[in-house]
Amino acid sequence: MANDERALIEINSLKVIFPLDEGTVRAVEDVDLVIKRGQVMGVVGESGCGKTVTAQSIMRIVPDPGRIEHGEILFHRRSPDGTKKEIIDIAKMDPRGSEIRSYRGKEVAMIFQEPLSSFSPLHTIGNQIMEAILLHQDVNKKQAREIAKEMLARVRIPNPTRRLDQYPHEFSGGMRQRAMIAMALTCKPALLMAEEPTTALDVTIQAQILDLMKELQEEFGMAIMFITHNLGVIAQIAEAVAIMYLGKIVEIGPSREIFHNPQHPYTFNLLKAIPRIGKTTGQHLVAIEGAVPGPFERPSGCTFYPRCERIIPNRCDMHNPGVTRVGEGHAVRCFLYSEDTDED
Amino acid sequence: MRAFLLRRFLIMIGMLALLSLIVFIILELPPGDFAERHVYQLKSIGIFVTEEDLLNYRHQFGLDRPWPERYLRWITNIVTRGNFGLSLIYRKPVTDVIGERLGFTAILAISAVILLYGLAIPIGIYSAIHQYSIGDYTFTILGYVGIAIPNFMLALVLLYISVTVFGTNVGGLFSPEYLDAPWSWARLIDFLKHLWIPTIILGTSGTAFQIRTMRATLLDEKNKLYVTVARAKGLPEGRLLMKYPVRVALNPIVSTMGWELTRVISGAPIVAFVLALPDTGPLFLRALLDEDIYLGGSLLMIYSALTIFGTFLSDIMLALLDPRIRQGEKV
Repeated sequence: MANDERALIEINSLKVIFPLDEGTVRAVEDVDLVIKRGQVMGVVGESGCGKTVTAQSIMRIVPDPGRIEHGEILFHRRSPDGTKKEIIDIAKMDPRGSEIRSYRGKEVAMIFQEPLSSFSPLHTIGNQIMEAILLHQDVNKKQAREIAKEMLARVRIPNPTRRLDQYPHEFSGGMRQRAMIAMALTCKPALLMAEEPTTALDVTIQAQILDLMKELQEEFGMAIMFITHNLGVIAQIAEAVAIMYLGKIVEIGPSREIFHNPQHPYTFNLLKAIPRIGKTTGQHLVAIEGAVPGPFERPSGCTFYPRCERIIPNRCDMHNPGVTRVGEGHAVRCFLYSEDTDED
Repeated sequence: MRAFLLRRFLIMIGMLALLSLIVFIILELPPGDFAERHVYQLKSIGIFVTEEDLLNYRHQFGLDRPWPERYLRWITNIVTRGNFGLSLIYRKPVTDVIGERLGFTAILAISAVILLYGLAIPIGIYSAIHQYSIGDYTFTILGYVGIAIPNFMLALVLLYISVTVFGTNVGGLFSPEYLDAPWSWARLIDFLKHLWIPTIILGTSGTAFQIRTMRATLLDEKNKLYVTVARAKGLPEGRLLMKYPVRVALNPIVSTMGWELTRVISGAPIVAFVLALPDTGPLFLRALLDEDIYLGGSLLMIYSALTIFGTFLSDIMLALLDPRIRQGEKV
């Protein structure tokens, strides 16, 4: 995938493994992904497909014993006025070092699925937001408090001054996620990673949070990597979508292409599985045949072949499909479109 | 916070009242009384005693009154005048008999508890961060050895060491030359030289359990989402650990502090007996054996009151530590 002027994060053949007693789990394998400045990239897949680990790698917060086996994560750093540019390789940094800490939380921030447990129960919301500000900005406590207050007001939390001194248990789920967004955005990061940020919330709150994120994304001009298993959410917010299956990106392209012209059989089936009001009355919900193989039963060849309806015998089960370009910014890993292999 | 403290305080007072009643009843339960013990002792040294003498003694000790009346008089005197009654063995007020000894018991219990947490909390943190490392296993084994060795056994071993290695004299809290001397620097230093043995014995017996508690809670907490969130902010690991998971993990440690104090205090008499410490331990044992209900009852009451007070203190600490408790669980 080509490098261009607007690239912000450029992941090249990333491989993340978890060496466990039972064997090695290859959580992320051969992932290439470019997120451009200001772009909303949706990353979609079932549980265990590697979407979360990819995001954690960008932050270098992959939980033990996981580690980056090889690959690059290039961050195109730019000074606020846009004059100075440099490229740093996040994958080479010590995850506990000071170098990564000057980037983590400042240039890339992350919000998580569970707003209920994202905050420490023993510290005030204000304390936790101010901590992020004091770590990365050259301000004193009073100024940090002012910034925190403005951010809470910005994410539409009423009464921000009083709210700063409250504890997480005094916030509702939706309010906590708003506070989480406020905390992540205090340092105006170039990339916000959102891991299922609306999944734990009820539907009306979900819509509010999504609207808020879209609004803030436009205001701050940041890129968002939106990780979810919910294609409906992606359709609302993302410009581009990467579909992951068992640690690999099987299809990537602009949202419109993915939704209207899906190429990979897996993407096709995922879209078919979205329930539609009215159209499916009285019918069973569509499900993809089979189940995701366990982490130690990864099939050889194309990892999706056991569940694929369009399997090419002696090919899909033997060889690893390479990446084929099928349109403008649209690529797919499937033998239906090319005979290219991607052997280890 | 104020409502919480007030509620806890009232509960404490109620508990103390109930406790005094239970203490008194327990001491009344064994068959016989101090008058019978006294008569028996007189007989054993060859003095002839009649049935009438026994009744006289009983009257003289006030033991012929019904127990509710005796209880009321005992507890009223304690509350209004700080008078714990007369020790029947020593024929002196209980407060005089206990006197300085209670101070030693308190110092011993407090230093044991400080040692216990001073060891357990840092070791627990170390073990959780370096899970399954050699250090973790070493502390685990040492901890279990500490649990497995009975206190009196450890007391004998440490006495042996103190005599052979350090050349200090055996047992007690003072060397003979300082026994009845007034307080001075030299006497204090001598006291500290003797204090370490019972402190180690009482302190280490509970260390292993608290290490395991700290280790297990911290292992749970350090993988929680709020820790990842804090890490994602760019917080350095050390600060991160102390500010977030360690503070949360202190919760069970602090809330069981009251029990730990109980355990140390109830373990103390046996150790004091083996080491011949001039604290309240041997006194308590003797009072129980001779059915001196006022001395025994007062000591039991003081021990229990310390425990309840310890629990009250741990409640206050918990409230300071955790806003959810302070604000009365509005979740």
